Amino acid sequence: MGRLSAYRLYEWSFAKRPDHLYAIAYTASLAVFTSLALPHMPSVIPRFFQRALQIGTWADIALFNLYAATYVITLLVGALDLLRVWILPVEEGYLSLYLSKPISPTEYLRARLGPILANGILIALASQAAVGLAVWHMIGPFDRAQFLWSSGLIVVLILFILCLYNYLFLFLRESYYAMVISLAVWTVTLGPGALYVYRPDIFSPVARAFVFPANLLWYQSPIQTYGIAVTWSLLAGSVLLLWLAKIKLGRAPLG
Amino acid sequence: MTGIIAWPFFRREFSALLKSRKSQTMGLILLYTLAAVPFLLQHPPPEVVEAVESWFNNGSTFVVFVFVWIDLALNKTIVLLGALLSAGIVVDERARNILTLYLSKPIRPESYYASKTAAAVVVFAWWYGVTAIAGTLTLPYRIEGFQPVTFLAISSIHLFAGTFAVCLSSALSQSFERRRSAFLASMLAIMLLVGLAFVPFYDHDLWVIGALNPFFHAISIFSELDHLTYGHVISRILLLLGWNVAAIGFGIHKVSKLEV
Repeated sequence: MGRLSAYRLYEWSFAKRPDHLYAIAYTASLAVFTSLALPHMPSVIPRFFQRALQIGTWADIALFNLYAATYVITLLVGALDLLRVWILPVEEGYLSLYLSKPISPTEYLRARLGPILANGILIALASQAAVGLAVWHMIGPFDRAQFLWSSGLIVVLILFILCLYNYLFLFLRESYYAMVISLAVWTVTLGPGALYVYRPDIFSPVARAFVFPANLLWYQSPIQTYGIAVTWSLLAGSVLLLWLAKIKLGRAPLG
Repeated sequence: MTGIIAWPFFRREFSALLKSRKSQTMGLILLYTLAAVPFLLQHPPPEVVEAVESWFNNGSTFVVFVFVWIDLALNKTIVLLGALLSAGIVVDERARNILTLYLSKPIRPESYYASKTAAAVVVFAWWYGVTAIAGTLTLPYRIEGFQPVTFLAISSIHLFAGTFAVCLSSALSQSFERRRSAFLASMLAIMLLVGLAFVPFYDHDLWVIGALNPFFHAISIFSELDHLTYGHVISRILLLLGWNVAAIGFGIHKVSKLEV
């Protein structure tokens, strides 16, 4: 038993919240409902997806929508959890209470952030598992390797964005601005998808690679070639952001 | 209903909320969306026009615009704005341990809740109104075949869907003790309702889902745009008003059972 193991255990149990289960249940029900309802939609829907987004089968249409659901919901829960690292303690005035104990800022960050990131990954994985099972059993088969790659990339992307949020949040003192930042990140990552439907003419072949989450379904073989490189760069980016966060928190004025 | 609102408190709350950063961000988001949407519609791809035509029996540029404006722009912003404006009411004070302080003043918890929700509703309506009027004045120059009267009629119905989002998130929040849970629950609930709003247009057999969804009634008028009557507009506004009152009523009921 290390000096801080009791404290770390406390943080783990403190980070567990029913919200996480509700979020998983929510995405899982979305997956089931989408898989039930989608094949009953009139033929104009698959035609629309085929022409506007080059996504052809019912299974792929369902996956496209549910990838976005996993992404949005996990990030929403994660962003709200991340408020507990810095902004809420500052707003509610109890951060100095923690750091006046023999807990260094780095130890505090590790103990508090670890469970939050782990919960985020868990929500994303559980949601993706529900998505995969629902679509596979209720609509029909899809490319399994492709689905696993996509899920992996979504999870790593979520991890990276949560680390980014965490670093940016350290510059703020109010949860309001944190919500604005989260909104901006959503818009930046999901905006190209909405734009692509209406203005495909302004997308160059390179810009097309950023139409998330349709790109996960478009680039089947490139993903298997570049997927590992993308994963490692996102992981490296996350580690860098965590390191920056550690430095930032170490220099932060308390009070 | 009006008796429960403490008017002086409401007035102060309204002017404070209107000047707040929340409300300014909200105005910016709405006006930016208004400025950006015509850009999306410069060359609508034929498949988008075809899809809109099959849903609403009309594929003119104006109807495509209305679909994009309500579905892509307003419905998505409503999810966030509703929760942002009102998911903190009472929950916020409780989290900061200052609720007892407020309630020790001569105001009942129900009045406190109803006045704050009403202020949030009016602030929302204010910015929605500003956006609708700015749209009516500028869009005729930017959208081919723009029909200002129809646009105002649609906006006046949809406004009440927006205020319903505000009321619903303030009411749902009363079931939570933590601010984050309240915000999350409100967003997820409104997201679900908004996401299902257009389903009855896609498949008429699923009309039950629409009948139970206030956000569907805010857009059900889309299939009647060619022959609008006052009756079409007013009946929907009344229906949505009912949903608004029901949401606030639920919130008041929750607050009255609050233990301080």
